[in-house]
Amino acid sequence: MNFYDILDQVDEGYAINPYAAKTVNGTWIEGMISIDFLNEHFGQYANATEMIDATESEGLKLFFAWLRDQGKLP
Amino acid sequence: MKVNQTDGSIRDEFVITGPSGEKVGVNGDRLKVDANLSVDNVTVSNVGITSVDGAAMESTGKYMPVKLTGSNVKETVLINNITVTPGSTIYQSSVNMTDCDFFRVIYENTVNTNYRIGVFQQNMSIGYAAILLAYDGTQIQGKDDQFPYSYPNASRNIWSKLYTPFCATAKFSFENQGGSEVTVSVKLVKLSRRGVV
Repeated sequence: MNFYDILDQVDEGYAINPYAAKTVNGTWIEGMISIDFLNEHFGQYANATEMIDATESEGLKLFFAWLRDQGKLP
Repeated sequence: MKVNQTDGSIRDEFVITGPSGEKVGVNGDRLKVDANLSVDNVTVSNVGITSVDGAAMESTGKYMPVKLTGSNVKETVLINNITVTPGSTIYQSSVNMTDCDFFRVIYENTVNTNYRIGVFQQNMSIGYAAILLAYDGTQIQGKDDQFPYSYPNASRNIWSKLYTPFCATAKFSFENQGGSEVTVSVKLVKLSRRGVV
């Protein structure tokens, strides 16, 4: 999986992440995510389920599920 | 031991000096507390020194992180206790820094991670100045190579641009470059104008 093939770059090497951060009140803050980071850590997985299972980060789990809901990840 | 604000020619503000006048460090440095010296007594020109975690600095022979406090040191919280997703960047709304004063950015985190704090002008044009000091409550975490420079969201080397004034409406960003979530607070510290303290 090459995330450059499925994500729109809003800045060079970065894509929108609606779950970039979370406040103490549980509100998610939109930001960006490094596409190189995604390729490095999750490029070896074939689908969203594998990626979700491979991380303990709540934000990343939600991000991958969001991509799946958008049809960008199988 | 005393706290000096030295003359403008070398732009050293709030320099911590030892008993013989030798330079010990600046705000954010770890300060070695020698025997028979009480940091509580170190107050000059309305600037005091406290440990980062507020603990009494009575131990001797230990290096402890310090920061300057007092009415001449103004702090603005840029990011307050935000948990940042791995690989992600968040942005802080603009801060007026158009008075060309000197600023420092203090970063506090929950775990060690690689990170980048970006400081850039509102219009994304060239012009940066930030002093990035990092603490985890016991020691400085930030190192020069943890603030890589990349245009336009540039984070300046901690020390090389230590005394550069910033004259713009600025935006800040924080990027968690590590593989784990990190809860962070980032403060902007505005130092008094040189010669005013």
